[in-house]
Amino acid sequence: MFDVIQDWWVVVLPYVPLLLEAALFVLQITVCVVLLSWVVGLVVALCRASGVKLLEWPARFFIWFIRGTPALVQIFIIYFGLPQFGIKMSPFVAGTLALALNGGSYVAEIIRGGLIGIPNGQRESALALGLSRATAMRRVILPQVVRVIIPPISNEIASSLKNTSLLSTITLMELTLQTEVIVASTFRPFEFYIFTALIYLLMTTTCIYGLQIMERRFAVRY
Amino acid sequence: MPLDPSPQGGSSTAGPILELSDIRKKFGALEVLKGVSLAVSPGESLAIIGASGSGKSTLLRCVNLFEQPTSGQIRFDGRDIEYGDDLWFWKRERILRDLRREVGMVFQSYNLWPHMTVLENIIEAPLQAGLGRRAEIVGKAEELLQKIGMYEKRNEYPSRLSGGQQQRVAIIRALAMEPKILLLDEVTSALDPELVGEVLELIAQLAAEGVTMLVVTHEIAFARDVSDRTIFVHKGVIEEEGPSAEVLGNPGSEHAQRFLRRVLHPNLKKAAGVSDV
Repeated sequence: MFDVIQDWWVVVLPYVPLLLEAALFVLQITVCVVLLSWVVGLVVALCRASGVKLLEWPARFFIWFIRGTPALVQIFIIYFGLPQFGIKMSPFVAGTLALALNGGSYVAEIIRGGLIGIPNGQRESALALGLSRATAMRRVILPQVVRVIIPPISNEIASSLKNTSLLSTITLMELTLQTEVIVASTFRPFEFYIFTALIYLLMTTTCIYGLQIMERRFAVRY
Repeated sequence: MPLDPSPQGGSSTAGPILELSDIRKKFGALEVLKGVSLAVSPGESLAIIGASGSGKSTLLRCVNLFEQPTSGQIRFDGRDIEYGDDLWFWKRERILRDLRREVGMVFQSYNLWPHMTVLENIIEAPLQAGLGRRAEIVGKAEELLQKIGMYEKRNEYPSRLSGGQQQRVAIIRALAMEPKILLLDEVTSALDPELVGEVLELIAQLAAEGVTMLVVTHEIAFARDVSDRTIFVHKGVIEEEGPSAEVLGNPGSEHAQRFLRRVLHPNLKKAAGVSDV
């Protein structure tokens, strides 16, 4: 055990640039996934809350399906399954899409929770002043929702970041797969997986605390 | 207060600005409004009183179609307002929006938007409706704020204001749209007693200036002293209608008599406090 820790750096150091590069890729994927999942989440949440059955039921089904199935299976459906219907995507596109749909269902529920928390009088007063429903949503309701959902959203971003490791299974050379590859040639799994875990930890922690700071900046002037 | 409506309320059409004919509203099997008809002339202020559950708030909410009547006709500013589920979605949305731009409504619970300052609250709807250039709209909003003595509060958030101040801002927020009629739904019911006066004073002032209004209220003294006419609603029917002094001083229907006895007694103190409006 002592030996292991002693030559830890000797083993890991040569591979650090490679791992950091993979970590940077993880961040890139995460940014794409998160932005897309917000769009998905907002659309699904608005459909879910629309009161129009034709929009509400597909949204319910989507949330039910995504939350009730493993993310890994969802990734396989999109990357391995869809090509049977002629829909072929690169590992990056398929992976980003799968994780964005997955994250979107969680974001949708977070937004829905935020919407429920806004008193109905807020919407009524907007409509009473002749704002359209869309304008009332955009100018009156959503700005209030944004403030209450920042904490759960930052957790969701951290989840998305961690979920990118699942994309190692569809040959995307992100941090986890990169580590696997290195381990296969160095036979030092403990050192490398611990180091990789620390990189993930650094990224998720930064993201959660970063958002907390942002929240304190923006929130509750009123 | 003269009984005939003052002519200065601004509408181009002669005759009533608002005319409801045989409005019925059912919630499931429960018929809340059983054929209500009324007309409001420009510049007139009409009080609607009645026990809770009588349908008076539902009646008010039918005017701006927050509730869709089961049947009946709404005539506003010389045109029949279409409503109903058979209307195409976007057409319905446009009708509602256009109607509500001209029909102001103020609620019991103020409903100012907490993330916007006082001024932003007031200018939002006129800006969205394109009522003028931004500078004009802001100028008008500031005038209105000066009128209620709250110009200094224009950059405050609503949470920093008292209930009375919030409600007065809510009233001028509605006025900033230059509505042809103002609906007030128990606007003093959520206020601490000592804050009721300032809100009632503002409404009285507006009534005197000829703002057309339909006021659902529990403040009998207010109805008596400020409203030109009063309507007493009982179980979805208008039971009494006429000049406020008559309806409140000498009601014919037994229900109205009983209601007034019940309401006036516990409210004596409150009523005395505002009788100098």
